[in-house]
Amino acid sequence: MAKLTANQTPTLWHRVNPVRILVYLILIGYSIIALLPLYVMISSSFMTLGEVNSGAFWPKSLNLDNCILFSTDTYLDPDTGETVTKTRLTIDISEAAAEGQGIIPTSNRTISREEHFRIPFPVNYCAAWNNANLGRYIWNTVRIVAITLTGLMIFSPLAAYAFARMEFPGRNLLFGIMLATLMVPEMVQNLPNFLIITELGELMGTKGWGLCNLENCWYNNWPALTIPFMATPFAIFLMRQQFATIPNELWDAARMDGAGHLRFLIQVVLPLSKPVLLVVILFAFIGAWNALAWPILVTTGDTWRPISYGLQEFLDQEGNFAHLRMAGAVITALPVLILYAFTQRYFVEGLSTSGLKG
Amino acid sequence: MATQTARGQETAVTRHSTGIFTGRRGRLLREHLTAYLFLTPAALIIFTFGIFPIFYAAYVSMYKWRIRQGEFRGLANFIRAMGDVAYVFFAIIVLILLIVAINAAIKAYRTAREQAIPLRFPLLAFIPGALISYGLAEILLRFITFFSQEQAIQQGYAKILGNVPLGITLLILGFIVSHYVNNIQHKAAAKSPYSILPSFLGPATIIIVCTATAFLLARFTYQELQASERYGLALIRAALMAAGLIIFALAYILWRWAMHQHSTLKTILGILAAAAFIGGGVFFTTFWPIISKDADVDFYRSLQVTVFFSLGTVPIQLTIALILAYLLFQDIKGKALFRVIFFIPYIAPSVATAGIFEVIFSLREGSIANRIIAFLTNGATKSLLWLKEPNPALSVLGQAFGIDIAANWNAGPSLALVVIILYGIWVFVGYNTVIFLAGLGNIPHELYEAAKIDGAGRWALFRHITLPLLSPITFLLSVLAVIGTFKAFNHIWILRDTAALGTTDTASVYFFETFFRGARFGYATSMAIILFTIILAMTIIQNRIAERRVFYG
Repeated sequence: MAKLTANQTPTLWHRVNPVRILVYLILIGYSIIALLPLYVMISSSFMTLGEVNSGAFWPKSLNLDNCILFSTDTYLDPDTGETVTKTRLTIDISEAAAEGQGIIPTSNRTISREEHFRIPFPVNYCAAWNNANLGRYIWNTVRIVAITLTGLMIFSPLAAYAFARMEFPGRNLLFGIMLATLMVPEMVQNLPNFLIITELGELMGTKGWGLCNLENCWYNNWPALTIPFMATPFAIFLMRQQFATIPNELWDAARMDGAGHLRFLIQVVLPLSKPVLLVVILFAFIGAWNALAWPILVTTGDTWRPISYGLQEFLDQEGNFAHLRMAGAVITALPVLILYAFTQRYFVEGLSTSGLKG
Repeated sequence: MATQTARGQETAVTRHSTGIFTGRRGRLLREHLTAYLFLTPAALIIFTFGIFPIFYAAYVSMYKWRIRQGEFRGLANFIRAMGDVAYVFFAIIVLILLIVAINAAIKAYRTAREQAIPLRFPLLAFIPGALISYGLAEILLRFITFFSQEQAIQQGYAKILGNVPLGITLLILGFIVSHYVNNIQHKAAAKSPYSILPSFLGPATIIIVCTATAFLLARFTYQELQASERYGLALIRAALMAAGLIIFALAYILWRWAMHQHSTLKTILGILAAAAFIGGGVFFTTFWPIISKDADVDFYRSLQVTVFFSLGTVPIQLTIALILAYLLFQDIKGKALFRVIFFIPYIAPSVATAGIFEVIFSLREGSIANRIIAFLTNGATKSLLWLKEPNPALSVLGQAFGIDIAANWNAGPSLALVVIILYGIWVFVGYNTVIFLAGLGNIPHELYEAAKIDGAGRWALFRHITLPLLSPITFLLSVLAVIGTFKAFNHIWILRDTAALGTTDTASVYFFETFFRGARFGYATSMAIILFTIILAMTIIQNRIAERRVFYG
């Protein structure tokens, strides 16, 4: 900013520097570019089919329909074949709302239904939730993330601790080999891994290692989706960088008190490394949420199919109905975006500090 | 479970404390065992699903393997993919392996010289080195055949069955010998307190493994070449292509020479000569498409698409990110907010965002992209096909603006690919901006102050302080971005359309398609290995260039 002498009154020109305005204009312009696709997603998810096809910029209304139904139903359970009576939330789209929207009205498979109340909700979301079976896929992904993280939080800190704070022959060699695997394209690993998984499944299934009673332990089951991600070079690398910064005096003090490596790791190192652990957890979550190629290879059917694969199938299937596809996309993106809103500091700072040193 | 075993081991260790775990050496041994125990679970997982697959891929790629393992084919899959280029490819791999071996030898020799260790000590390391690498090879081979259908192996290549007991015996023997040799050396070189052997065992193993692999590969290649129906023709073609590559290498050397000259005349002459060599290289390499006619056309196209995708995204995304980061780094209000916004495209699930791009760039008249085009051309053009357009973007856009550009493959990426490139840029700008911003924060403020006192302007500050001090990060990001474009899968899988006639299928997508839809496992893995080698070579070259260009502050 230009300097002002004491007796000058600040004019507009002095207060607003043209270069500064330009800077703000560029930044705001790029923000619009970054956010525009998301705006398109959200706005089209509320539109009618006609509005989407004519390229409207915002929906005239939210297209509410009383589609969330709380009722006591008596119905045939498709898995057991028994008649069940249950009070539950279901989606029931009215004929009027479905008409001409590419939405199939939900077929009423119940024997008897006693309606309690209905909640109005944008009909596209109801339809997407129902058609894409997104609830199932989100639940699958949550299960996958939970199992993966349990393994990751046990195996990776141990390895990172050994690399960071222990001396043993071949440490640098092993660490180097581990880092080198970061350079390998996933596709090179995915293709043989698929064969390894099927072979492991056959071996365990037929020869009965006592580890698994299921028909196929690996293919289309949780081990294939979680075990390969329970120790990733990236997580171990991040943790190692953090563990190495912990001062040696702490270790000396702990050893004086009779603590071994394991106790020191659990009681001192891990509590001191919470931000890095959080970053690792967040990235594992995002990785599982985004996983596509690997689930395509190792899952069939709905039992373990994760959300990205589910959404991809839905996008393919609803090719002509952008309003439904965008509703599905919003449902898929929302959990991640909410998580990001609460933890963005860790995302950004974790990435920019730990990603660089090394 | 792993923690429990670790704890169990520790108590077992303390109970033994009267035995081998006492004294300084005992404590050290105990520490080593604990460390290995800590590593075991992670190492098992990373080995099984991260490292072993690479070897297994090499094995699978040598078989006809369509769902079931078929007959042994040697290197035929590679030759089918690349045509006669494969021979040059193998020659280059052999060369690289030999270079790695020689480098290791030179380094070991230098350390021996520096520490005044007599040469017979490093040479002694070859005995345990050979034992260990042979033992490892036996175990690895057994591991590979463990996952294969053994009937097929017996029909094809019975020799490949590894012998685990032999391997383990060899390993133990290797370690005993190395311990023994180490002891001898300690006595001989009483002055040096550190152990000598470990520092030479590694290089010795590397040299043995690389030379052996190079030898095997060379023999296989020679066999394939001899078995080829067009033996002479294949040889000539391979030689022609190799000549093209060598001329490129010479051009590069000339260019470096020219850049190091102090006289302008020499520099200009060097540059001219390099340009001439590049021309020659291009002349030879233009034969490649003709020569590789009997290769897999789709494979070459997928490589070309990958290169277009890389060239389209990486420079633009890094430039935009650098500008944004530089602007954000100025004293800006709402810096944190901007950073959060820029990062959103990167964090949002890629399948969902790719779905949005599918809607924005749909072929409907009302789609946003078509309305922008209509606005720019005043409604003179009909709407474009975008993701369903296999023709090059240049010719399509040329038509839209009334310019005629021939539609052939050399005209650049298809319009469909351009949309995918735009998506890539949109996603990764935010990520790069955040990392650039961190890099800018690391530049010491005093440098700017000093330069300002010397009268440097805004541009001079940027050009002479920011850019050079940021170069390590720029380099890191460019390596990551290039590798990222070679790995890219999710969004291309969503955005690809059969109507685009494969012009959007990058290499990894094409392999996946061959593997998943075509169920040609052997062939797909052989192509994946080719891509892997290319990435590896690029990383090495980028590293070499960076050694000179990048300023590590």
